[in-house]
Amino acid sequence: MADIFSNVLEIRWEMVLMWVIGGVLIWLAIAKDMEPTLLLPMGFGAILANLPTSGAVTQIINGNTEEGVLDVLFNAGIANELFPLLLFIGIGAMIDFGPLLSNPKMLLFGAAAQFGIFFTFSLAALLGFDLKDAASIGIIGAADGPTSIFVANYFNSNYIGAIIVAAYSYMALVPIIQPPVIRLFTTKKERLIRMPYEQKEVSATVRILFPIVTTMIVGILAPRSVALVGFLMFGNLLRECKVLRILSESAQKELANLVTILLGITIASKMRYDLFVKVDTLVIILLGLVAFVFDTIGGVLFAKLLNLFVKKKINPMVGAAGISAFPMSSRVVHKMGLKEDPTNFLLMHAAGANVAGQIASVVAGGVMIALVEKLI
Amino acid sequence: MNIRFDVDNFLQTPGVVLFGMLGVFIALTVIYLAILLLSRIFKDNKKKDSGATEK
Repeated sequence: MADIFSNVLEIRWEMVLMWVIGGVLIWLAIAKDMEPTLLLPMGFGAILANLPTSGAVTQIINGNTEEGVLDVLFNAGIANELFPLLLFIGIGAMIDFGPLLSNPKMLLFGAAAQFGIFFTFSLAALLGFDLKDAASIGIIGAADGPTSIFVANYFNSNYIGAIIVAAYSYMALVPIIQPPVIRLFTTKKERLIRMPYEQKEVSATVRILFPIVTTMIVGILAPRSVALVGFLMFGNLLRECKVLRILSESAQKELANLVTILLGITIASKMRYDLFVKVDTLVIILLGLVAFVFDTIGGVLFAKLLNLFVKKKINPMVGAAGISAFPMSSRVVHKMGLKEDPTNFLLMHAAGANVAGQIASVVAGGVMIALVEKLI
Repeated sequence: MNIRFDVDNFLQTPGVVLFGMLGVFIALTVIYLAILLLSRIFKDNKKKDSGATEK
């Protein structure tokens, strides 16, 4: 009997706290529908990884290392960046770049809305995080899970668990985070600016060439991010070529779903109490919020800056959609526009900026890796 | 890690912020120009095609 119950004595308060955190993630996923595809596996994984002497994670028992399945999955799929890249094929196949191709200047908003990444990087460095960890924390502002995983893993950050929890949680919280920030930095008059949408035909050839050309440009200018962009664009090419419909659908459904299941639960291997229950984790979660806020501010202020020079005024709220959280951010902007004026439809402009943010966040990740690598 | 203000660490970052944002803008501007170019080239072809069909 003593042998059976000996494990009970191994329970620590930090483990119980992690069960609660896991429970909260599961509750958010089920009750609040917040990124359920990732938060639910992560929540369950957090419980699984924090049971006393859990066989799901690597343990040293009587001097022997017993490898846990979560660590095996981590080494097989995240440590070598495989899962985020495979997920990007699915995401690329899901995205319709049409609104961006018909209004390509929206790309600039995607660029501006990456400001939070670099601002937060600086702030994290000021708070004493080493540059590799600061860069990994800043990339929460990419508002894009696979990019966050890619960069944090590239820098072998000790905080990968907290970073991913923050990245996915804030993506789900975009409808709560962005509106007050947008209202704070825009006037009512600006929010009422109308942007009539001119439907422009985008030829099939342009749609096919876009992923190829984008991969080549990013590969040449920001080679560190070429794997991410390449896989994203490969997925999009599957979609747009129109001769691989089955592969495109498989990428969007089976591939993305399978990788998501494994990704969520595998991340939990880095949510062990000894790695997670720290003051640093709270600070990282707060810094993630700063990143999302400053992304939004960057996009809005850039739109206001452009308005000083252009004849056709841009509704600055569209700038806020330049963050990569697709499609939440464009919906938020669209709804805010409708709230101000029920006849002002900003959805297509916002969607253009939003998919631009997807490309820009990946480029920002690559640029961050290239620049920080030179400093360390 | 103890959270503390590390000014020396911070002073290494302005270059990354500046060149980082610049790098992102340059990359996206080049993509923007490439889309404009592609749209122009293939729009013209389409017109020719449709003209040929009309004849």
